[in-house]
Amino acid sequence: MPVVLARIDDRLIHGQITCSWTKKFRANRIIVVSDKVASNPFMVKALPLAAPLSPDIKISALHMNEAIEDLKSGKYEPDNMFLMTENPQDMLTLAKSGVKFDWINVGQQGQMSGMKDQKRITKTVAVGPEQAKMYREMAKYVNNKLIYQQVPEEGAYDFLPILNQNFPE
Amino acid sequence: MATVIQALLCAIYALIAYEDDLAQFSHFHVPTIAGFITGAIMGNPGAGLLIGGTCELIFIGIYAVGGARPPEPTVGTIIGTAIAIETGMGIELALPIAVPIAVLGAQVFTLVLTSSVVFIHAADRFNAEGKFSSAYWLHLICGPLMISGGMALLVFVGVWLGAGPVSAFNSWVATNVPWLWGALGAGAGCMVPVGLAALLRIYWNLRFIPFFLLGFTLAAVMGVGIVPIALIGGAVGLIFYVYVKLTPETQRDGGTEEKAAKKLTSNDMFWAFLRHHILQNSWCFERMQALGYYYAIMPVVEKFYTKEEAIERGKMHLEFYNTHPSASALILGIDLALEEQKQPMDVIRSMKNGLIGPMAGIGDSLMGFAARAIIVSIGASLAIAGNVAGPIFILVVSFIMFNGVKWLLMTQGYKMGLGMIDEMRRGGVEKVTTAIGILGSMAIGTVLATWVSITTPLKYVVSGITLVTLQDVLNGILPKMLPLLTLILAMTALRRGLSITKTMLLFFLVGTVLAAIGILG
Repeated sequence: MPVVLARIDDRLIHGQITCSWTKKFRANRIIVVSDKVASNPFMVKALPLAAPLSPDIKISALHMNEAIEDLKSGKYEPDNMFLMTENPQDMLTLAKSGVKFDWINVGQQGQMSGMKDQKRITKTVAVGPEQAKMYREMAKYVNNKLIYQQVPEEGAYDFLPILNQNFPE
Repeated sequence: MATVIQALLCAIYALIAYEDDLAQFSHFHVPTIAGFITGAIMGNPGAGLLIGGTCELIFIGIYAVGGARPPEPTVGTIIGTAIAIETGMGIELALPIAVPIAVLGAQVFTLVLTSSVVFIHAADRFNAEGKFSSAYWLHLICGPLMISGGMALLVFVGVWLGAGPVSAFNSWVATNVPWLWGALGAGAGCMVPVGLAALLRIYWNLRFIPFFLLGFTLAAVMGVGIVPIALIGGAVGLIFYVYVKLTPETQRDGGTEEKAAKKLTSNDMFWAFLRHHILQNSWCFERMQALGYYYAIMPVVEKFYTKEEAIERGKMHLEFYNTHPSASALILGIDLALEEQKQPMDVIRSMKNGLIGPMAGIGDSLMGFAARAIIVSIGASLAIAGNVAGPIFILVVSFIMFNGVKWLLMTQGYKMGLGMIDEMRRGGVEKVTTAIGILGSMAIGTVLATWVSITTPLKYVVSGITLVTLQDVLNGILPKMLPLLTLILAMTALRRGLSITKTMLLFFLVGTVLAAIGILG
């Protein structure tokens, strides 16, 4: 089971990832999948600094097509891997492309760049009607295991019912 | 019942302590200091030191990262200490009160941090009208009014009214189940290894395990105290830092960064530094530290741009921002350089958004967990031994650390501009990390061996003569074996995915039951 955590978080790798999630899953590779990040040399340089106490964790930022190719070719098979995207669009693209993961973790979303008609539906997640559709679609690829949870120490909530309450189908 | 004056004094302390915590100014809020000050207010500073120091060890593995809200040690310690002293009980009553109150405190904290969102919305409107100073005021009043104010209110109510019901319950316990407090105390003692395990998990890495074992053995077998061990750890860390050469990741590129003539005065720098301290004074779940960052940077923006431009830039600085509040000083420093060079908004936005994640990762691991753990474990150890130097040590060392680190990061960031990242990649961060990691792992080992007392009274008695005492047998193999075993069990539970709060509760219950049936204690 190579991908142990697939997370949507617009702050990408930060303390919750390096001090909490990597400890729970003993991750040894974190891949940020984003065309925007991978084509920004400043961010590519800054990202690997994020986990100073765990130098064994390899951190990289990949373009979407690179990531899909590498992941499907089984390049990282032996690793306990985290996949991170900035937004639901990218996560949906990954799911659709056939990259396999069992569940999707919704961490923090929609606070950094506004969306059309957005609505905050949990403490740290805002969603617009467009995105609601994306979440519903990606849920199909993971057996509806779409979980809102910031860190393992905090409660996990089923994301779809929260979504349905705020954006009725 | 505590007097209104005492409750009020505790609430005022809580207000200042939470402001200090938001500002990351001096660790004035940690349990060791909270226990001592509450003890002094309630008329028994000695008991306060012991309770505060012990609470410190229980909560040592807890630190809030990002928007997650773990238990709040400060309110737990204040209310637990106050009620324990008020009812004339002591530490065995304080701990079972402090932990649930801390959990409740986290709920209250979440509530205030959700409500504080109205402040940033109002600031949006003021910024759009160009009324910058009105937006600044909103930031200033939000903390004492909502955040630390809310926690202070909880403390006031808890201290004022808490002792009555607890005292009634206590006299019922004294007549019906006199052994209960002793068992609960032993159960609470079992929570300390859980706190240490949660912290050790952050270091869990082959490089640091030898130093944990070294600290444990020095203290458990040879009885060396925490201050000498900290010196040894500091020396080893320093040796590593000074003598070990790391291969640089990238070649030095000779500062090609384009530098505009410096226009910021040292006065501007100092004010930005001061204003940045209260970065979290209006923290809310929606945009987190955004208004705080705006408050820190805007005077410089106002200085360099026309009012219309400043409004546009103010809008950008009111966008989502959240990172480690001390490591954030580096972003501020780089931004100061960029604003001075009048860089386009896109450059600044991308620098901020690119760095908040990594700086949070660095700050949370190195300062939030590692450095804090070293400082408070020394302070708590002194406090448990009844030494007033404990809280004073924490206060002084933290003040120097926070202010020194922030000043250094801000000035270096300003000097290097965007080139700062290359500088950090050249190995600086890794060396600092290793030095801190060595010292931290030794401190955790020492604290476990020195201050966790889990013992067993089991013995083999034949016709009134004690033949074998199990504890003596264990001591013959390795002193402090039971605390070490408890820590390993706690680590296993945490690694299996049990949350810290649940693990603590579990160990508390199991410890209490084992003590009640005479296996522990």
